[in-house]
Amino acid sequence: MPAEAAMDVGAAVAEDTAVALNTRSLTAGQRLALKYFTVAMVLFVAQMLFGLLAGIQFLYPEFLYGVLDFNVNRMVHINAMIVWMLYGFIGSVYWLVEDEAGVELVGAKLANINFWVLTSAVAVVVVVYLVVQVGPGKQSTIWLINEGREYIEAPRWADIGIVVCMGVFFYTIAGTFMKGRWSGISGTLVLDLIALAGLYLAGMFYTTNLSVDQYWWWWVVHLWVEATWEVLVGCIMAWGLMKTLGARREIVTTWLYIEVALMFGAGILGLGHHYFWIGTPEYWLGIGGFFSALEPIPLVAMVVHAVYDAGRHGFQSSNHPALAWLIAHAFGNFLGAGVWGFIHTLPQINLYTHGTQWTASHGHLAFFGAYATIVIALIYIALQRWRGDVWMSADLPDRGWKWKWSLILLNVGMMGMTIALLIAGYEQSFIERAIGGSTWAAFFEGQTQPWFVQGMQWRMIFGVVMTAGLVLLLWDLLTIGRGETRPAKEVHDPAGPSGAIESGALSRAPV
Amino acid sequence: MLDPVELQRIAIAALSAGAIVLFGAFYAVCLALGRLKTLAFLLRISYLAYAALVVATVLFAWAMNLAGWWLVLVVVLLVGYFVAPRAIWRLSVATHESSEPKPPTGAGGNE
Repeated sequence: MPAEAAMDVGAAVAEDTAVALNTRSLTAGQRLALKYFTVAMVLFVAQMLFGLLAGIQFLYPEFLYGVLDFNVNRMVHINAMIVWMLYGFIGSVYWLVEDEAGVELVGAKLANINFWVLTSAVAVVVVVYLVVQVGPGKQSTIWLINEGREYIEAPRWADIGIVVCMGVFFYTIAGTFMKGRWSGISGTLVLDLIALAGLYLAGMFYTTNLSVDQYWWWWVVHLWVEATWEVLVGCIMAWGLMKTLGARREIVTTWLYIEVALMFGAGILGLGHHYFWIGTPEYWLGIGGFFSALEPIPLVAMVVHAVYDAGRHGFQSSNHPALAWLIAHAFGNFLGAGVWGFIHTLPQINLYTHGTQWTASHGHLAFFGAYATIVIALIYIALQRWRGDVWMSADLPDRGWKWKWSLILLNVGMMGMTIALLIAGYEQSFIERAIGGSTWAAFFEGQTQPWFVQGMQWRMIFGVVMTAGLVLLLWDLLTIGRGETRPAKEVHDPAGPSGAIESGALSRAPV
Repeated sequence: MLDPVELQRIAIAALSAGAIVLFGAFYAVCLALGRLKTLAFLLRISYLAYAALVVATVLFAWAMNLAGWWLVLVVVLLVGYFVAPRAIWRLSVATHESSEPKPPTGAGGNE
């Protein structure tokens, strides 16, 4: 290639890059958020890959046996999910904190160091999981290798590190709001972060009684997922609706309070549905069943508000992919947590379904619908700014086929997988639990039945569909808005002035 | 005392539970849309959806062997699903009315 032509290409690439990414326009918190989002997506890929491997092992149990055992695969699959969602939440909070507080991030350098420490710790923990898969269980293994508690297996040193990192995260966020201005969203957020970090402590100590141990362990798992995470997502959703739809601050704040009240009303004692079969007193059957059964009612009631708002205000969106994922969040949360939760929440049926693929079916759809979707929505909001507040509404140059197809494939894949797991779980509940009486022999008998095997095959197929969706999603995240020169569509609530703090209100000088 | 669901009723128990939530949502959507657009037929459909919810709840109670104080749950579910969407509607109207800018008043306000 002639030198002149090469220089032209280089200049074109440079110009394209300048249009593509506008990092200098971002605040310190937003730049940090992008790092969290990047790691979140890497872990999303890891979650998917380890999930696929575990899915194959259900069909071919000898696959990678002795190299990468199923229990390790499953552990990394689930841990990757929890950590990528936490990274997504932390990134989302860093993305909105300066905008919401109206001042620059407090302790930006410390927050950056915190990110690298946390990420290094996560990497070390995963490597140790993979390198030390079997061995004697001693006191030292609790500290260095694996604490042994399902979902929160991180060794004790990492546990302490996570609490310290969460403390630093809390300091930077609370400090920024204290220096700047408070709002309903920020107040709720800060209180929730205290609960989020505090609850983790409940999963860090051992007792010699397994029932007591599990009792406290569920505090972390349930009260994170069905209380503090939900509130955190509510805060992110409230801010996201102001940004994408121009919804008014007074309204989203009011509804945030109502949502928190409703969620805590049924969600905290709904914890009891995990206490059915771990040796706790019998009254938990009644408490857990009763309050769990009430949990979908707030979700159903919120449908009315969504219809009311959509019909009354005729919102226009400044970011179609983000809005589409926010809508997917609403539906996913309703179906995954509401419908799939309620169908087996009473002890009368949970006796048979608890811990089967039925539970896995509920877990997959609920986590994806309630949490993965909203993190992806926030990443699209962040990308729009990173590209320089460019157009992301209708009429994208490629008609937005990548984001649309990734949305379709990921959601269809998840629904297909959920239904396949439900069929397998139904069969398992029937053969293994109700007929077989939960014996060891019945456990294997259940897993050789045609419906179980076919369910697992279909789960694998839909897992591949989801993987295709993830590939498209990543491709879209890397390319959407590149070369776009139109400014973002301005949105406002047609019924009144936007209560949102304007995007450009904060100084964007690099910190 | 807990009486587990019988073997042949596991599917009915799960399907009726799902139907309760789905009919609850359908009732809420029809109620909200019917009031928003002032369409009487949607309001009638919302009552049909609620009637289906009642049937699903009765089926659910039968399949799950709900007896004794567990029947309180059935009553709370029926009342909750009926009242909650209406309460949220009232709340929606109230919050939007109180936060929307009032039309200009006084001399020249309508000129």
